Amino acid sequence: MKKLVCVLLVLVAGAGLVFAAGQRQSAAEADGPVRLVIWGGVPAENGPQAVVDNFNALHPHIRAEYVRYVNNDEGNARLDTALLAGEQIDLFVTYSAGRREQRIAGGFALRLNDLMDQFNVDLAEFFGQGIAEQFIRADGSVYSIPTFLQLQLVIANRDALESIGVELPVEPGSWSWDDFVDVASRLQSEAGFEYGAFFQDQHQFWIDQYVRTTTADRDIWLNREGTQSRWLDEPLLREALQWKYDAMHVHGVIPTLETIISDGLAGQHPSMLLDGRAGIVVDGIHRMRDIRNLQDFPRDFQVTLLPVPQADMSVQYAAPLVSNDEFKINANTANPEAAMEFLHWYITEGYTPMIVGGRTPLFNDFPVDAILDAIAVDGSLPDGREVFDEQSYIDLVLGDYPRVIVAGPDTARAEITAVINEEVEAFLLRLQSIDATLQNLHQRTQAALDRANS
Amino acid sequence: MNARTSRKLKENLIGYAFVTPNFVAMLLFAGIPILLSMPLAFTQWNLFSGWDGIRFIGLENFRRMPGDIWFRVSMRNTLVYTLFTVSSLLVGGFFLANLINTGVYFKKLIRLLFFVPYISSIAAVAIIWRILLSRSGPIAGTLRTLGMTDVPAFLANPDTALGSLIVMQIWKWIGYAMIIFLAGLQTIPRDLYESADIDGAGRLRKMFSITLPMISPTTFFIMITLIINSFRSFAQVQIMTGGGPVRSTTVLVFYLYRVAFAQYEFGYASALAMVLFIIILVITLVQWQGQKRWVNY
Repeated sequence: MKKLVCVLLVLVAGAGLVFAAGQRQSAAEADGPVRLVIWGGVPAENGPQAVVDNFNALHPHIRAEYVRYVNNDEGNARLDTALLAGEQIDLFVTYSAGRREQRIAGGFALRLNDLMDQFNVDLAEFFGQGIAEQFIRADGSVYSIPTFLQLQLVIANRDALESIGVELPVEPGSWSWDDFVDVASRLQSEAGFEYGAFFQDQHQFWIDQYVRTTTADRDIWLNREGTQSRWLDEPLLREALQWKYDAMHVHGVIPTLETIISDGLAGQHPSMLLDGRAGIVVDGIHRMRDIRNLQDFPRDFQVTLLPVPQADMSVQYAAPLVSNDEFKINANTANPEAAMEFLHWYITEGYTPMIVGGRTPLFNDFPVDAILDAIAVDGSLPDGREVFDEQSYIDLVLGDYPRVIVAGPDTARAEITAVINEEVEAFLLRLQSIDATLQNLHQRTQAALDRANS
Repeated sequence: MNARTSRKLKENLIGYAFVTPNFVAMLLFAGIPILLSMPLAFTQWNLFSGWDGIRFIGLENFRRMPGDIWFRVSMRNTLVYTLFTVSSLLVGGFFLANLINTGVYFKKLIRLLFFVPYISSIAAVAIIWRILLSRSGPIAGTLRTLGMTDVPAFLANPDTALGSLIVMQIWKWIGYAMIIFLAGLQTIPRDLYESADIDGAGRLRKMFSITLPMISPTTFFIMITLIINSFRSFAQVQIMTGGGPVRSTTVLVFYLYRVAFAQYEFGYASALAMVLFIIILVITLVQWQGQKRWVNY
């Protein structure tokens, strides 16, 4: 009898737990402010938490929460699982075109056009025509909204350049990749740097950027429909690869790929520039976070920002953005209006804490004073000068240039990226010729496309 | 039912009750997914297309494999890796176990030193080895002081990357092989050696006629576990080389992981998993049959 009672109690308790868990969600929503859950990859203390706190203070009828997921394979799997399982996620941020396409293909992204009209979010007005075109799909739908001006720049040691008498190419479109090599070799021979230059990027971004900032034709190694490989058709692709190779092995101005892999140069440390090992670095604007950080990176030279060079200087300079923080609203959200209200506020007003964390707003009309206040450094170089050249930031980053996101096409993205990494690695490690490399790239890309499109 | 069988029944039930939670968990999280992945091998399925996106394509996944350079290369790499690590571990482990068994000073210390790598976290070990093997690391530095002019960039060179992983695997598992061989050696009755001495047998003769046959069950066990384990090597590839440079360290499990979790092609990944499963099964069966001949119990 006692055993029977025990078993019954356990069953009742178990059933009660299951019930309660199910009720938790709806009970919370029934009373009080609307709960908005936002998933992003940036650590909460680098801006997002402050953004969310500010928002909550200004909008008492919505209570936003930020959940951080690490932006790697495991973290993205965590996000995908949460989305699939129907966990409450109202807004989520992706950081690459591939991930964006996956979420849209999976039906997790809400079509935003109506909400955008309701809240006066106009892509062309907010971000410029070039970006707007990249986010409005063929049928006019918008599923993803970019927010971060993730500009690729040349970040330079200003003192070193001036010491060897280089005239700073501050005007976009005023220097070519050949000029870049010249400057880098002089930095090595005359200013004594271990490496003249360094590229903090990945192979496909380098190729993409070389082509897209040089030609008005925005297709790179795939045609627009994503059905044909263009490796053998587009001469700029060959040029891009050859340039990198020559920079490593002929001119010797950047570390060889062998050194980069073997010493882990690509991932381990923030910047060869800040450590004084290279004179100029091609990197993203997010490096501002480290440039402003005199505590962890003490130094005595001023940093300045320069535009990326071009392969063909006669073409209009387009500021290259590498990937982006793209916001999407979950198609299964119960609170689309609240989500869009947050997004609109974030883009137009609430971005400031993110600037402190190293990000620049993509919004064209974001108050310049707010940006400059946020990037101001508390401290100066030993001789009293500014830590970085603020004017270069104003000119380049806040300047009115057409912008283009260098992101690579999306069909069979993961596989093609792996193919590009392998073949370019083999080429740069001097294991195969450029003709063989292009041939392989063409064949394998085409095979991947055929399979993806079948 | 009399008192004896009812007590036995009760004991059995208690036994089952202890085993059930673990068994249920294994069934739910391992058994059923493994069974479910088998029909998936005959489908094409991008995870994001939902359940409706499962498309039956028959043997297409398997037909894709011979033409898939990644598959061919990862098979080759896996087999090379397994061959070298297992053979080195068997020989090395046996040698070390003998050394410790036949009297050496600091026995316990040596055992500890060799066993610690085995119990260390693979992720931590991989990160440290990555630093050790770098161009500016201690191994390269030592080779340079010894006079070597062209020190290879171990993990950055396609010719040496797999070899470096093999060396690391041997370093990590030698303790395991040694300890198990040691246990096996200690079960051999002393009087066998004594009679051999009386018959005038030399050291080598004793090893080949007594030691090796008597520890053949141990050898068999170690060989199977090491082979199965070596086929599952993933963490060190992921952390130390990412499958590169240029595919030289892509092993089957690593490729499978990428197909599943980077390319989201679950159908093809399941097919690869099935191939892996069949290979390990065949190897184990071959060994199982073989042991009837060379293992003396």
